[in-house]
Amino acid sequence: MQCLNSNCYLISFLLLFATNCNESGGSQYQKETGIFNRYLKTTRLAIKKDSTYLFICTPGSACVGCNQHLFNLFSTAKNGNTFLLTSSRENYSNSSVLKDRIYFDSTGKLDRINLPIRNASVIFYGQGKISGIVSVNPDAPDSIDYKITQWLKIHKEFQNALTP
Amino acid sequence: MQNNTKLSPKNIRWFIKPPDILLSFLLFSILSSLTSCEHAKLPEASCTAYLTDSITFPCQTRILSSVVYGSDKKTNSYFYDDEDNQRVICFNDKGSSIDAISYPHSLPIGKISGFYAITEDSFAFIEHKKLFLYGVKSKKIKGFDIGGYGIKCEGAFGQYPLEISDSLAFYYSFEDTFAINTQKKWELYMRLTYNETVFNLNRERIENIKAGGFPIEIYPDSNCYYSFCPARCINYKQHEIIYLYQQSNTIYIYNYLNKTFRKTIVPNPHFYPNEKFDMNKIGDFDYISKYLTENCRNQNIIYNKFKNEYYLTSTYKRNYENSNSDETASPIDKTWSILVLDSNFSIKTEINFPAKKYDFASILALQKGVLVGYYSNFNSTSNYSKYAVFEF
Repeated sequence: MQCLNSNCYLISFLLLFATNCNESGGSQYQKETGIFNRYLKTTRLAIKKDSTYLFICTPGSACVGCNQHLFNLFSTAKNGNTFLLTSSRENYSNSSVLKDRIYFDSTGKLDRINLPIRNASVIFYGQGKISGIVSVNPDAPDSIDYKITQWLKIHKEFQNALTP
Repeated sequence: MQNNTKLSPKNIRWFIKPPDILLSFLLFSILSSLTSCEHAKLPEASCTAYLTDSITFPCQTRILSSVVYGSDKKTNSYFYDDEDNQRVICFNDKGSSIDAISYPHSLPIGKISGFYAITEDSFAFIEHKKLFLYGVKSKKIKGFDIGGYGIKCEGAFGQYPLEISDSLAFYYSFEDTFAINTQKKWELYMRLTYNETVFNLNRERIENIKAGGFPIEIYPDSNCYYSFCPARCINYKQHEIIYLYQQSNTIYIYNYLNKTFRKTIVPNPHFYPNEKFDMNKIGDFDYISKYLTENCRNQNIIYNKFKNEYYLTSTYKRNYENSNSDETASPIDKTWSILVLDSNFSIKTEINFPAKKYDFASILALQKGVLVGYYSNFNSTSNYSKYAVFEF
């Protein structure tokens, strides 16, 4: 207990303050944003820093029905700010309209990236940062529609990314 | 009293006295030697991969079955063409020839869920609730309706759900009818839905000798460890069905003549018991991937009827996240081994495999040893498959 003198209290307080500053100043997904930005560079997709995007991710590890559900959602989103990142060629490259917004990952990085997207997921991305990630529940794939709707209600800046 | 003594580099030596250091060193040496003794119990096989590149198919394939025949003990190994679901490819070991055997087009063949080579020119397979016996030369086919037993899909990946000995056919299957998303449903699934169905093929009508859920004795506990069914194999000589769960080294043995169970433990010192799987996260694929990577898992147990021995494949745990990388590990990044067990489940030898090169779910017992598929066989971008034979 002798070490808990006034200096110790001061140092602890400063450390706590510094940590809090870091959290409030950065994104909730700070680590994930760094990882995803480095991944996006490898895709060579034309991403603007001041825009908002929806990235629909269908990795090989995801359940087939979950991937299909999100692909259907993607194929109805006419806005150019919705991209599909996939590691499965099946069914995904047939449409010439959608082709430009599909990134096929043949490197396997999408299946191993350290983001919580092992099942089919949507990444909300704006101003160069991840704002949210939602994944499909394999027991109720439709429930992601509600999650996305709720998200868009709160974060109005993303509405243009999905709707025409 | 030493209560007032402050810790400082000068007086720290009084807390760790020379005799203590000596004692610690001795203890460490004894413990280390104990550990190394335990590891030394497993003699490593001086096996060699031969014919490594000689079995290569220009398509993605899956191992099906093998048969030995003739006085010169020729071996036919059968593979399933995953790209053309109506084709079985046969590799003849003596002549090193590859012959494609196609199903007769008059049959509504889709994806088979079990295959067994009975002789060099006859085999059995299961497709859509029917068991077929097929003569390669005669082109004759006989079908048995096995519907009504609730057979929905084949056993675990890498398993051999159909096996035949003399006139008995064993088919391992399980229901796949409802989502398992609660602990209760998990327990229900474990108790109701696994089938080992045994048919007597010599009768005019297929006789169902045993069907239904496994007896309660086989369930180790009510905890979930993610795996949904045990691996199983048949030892015809001893009339036994062998079951192995992924999370433990306990082997459950059912004698189908006496209808009795017994169990034994394989003392694999590299294998650590699994943590309990959180059923609330059954739909969380990230959690599942981490769980399967950070736990040791027994993948399969295969009986080699030619050598009267078992092959137990185990993958070993490793870290899922790496602070120096943007990528996580996955179950295929784990090193793995085949434990060769004698007919009493004692360890004879161990063969260690590096991660990612060979596929632990693609193994076939041969007269010489084991046939192991290369991992690239299941890479979605590869259009060929390759196998190596390990002799020990």
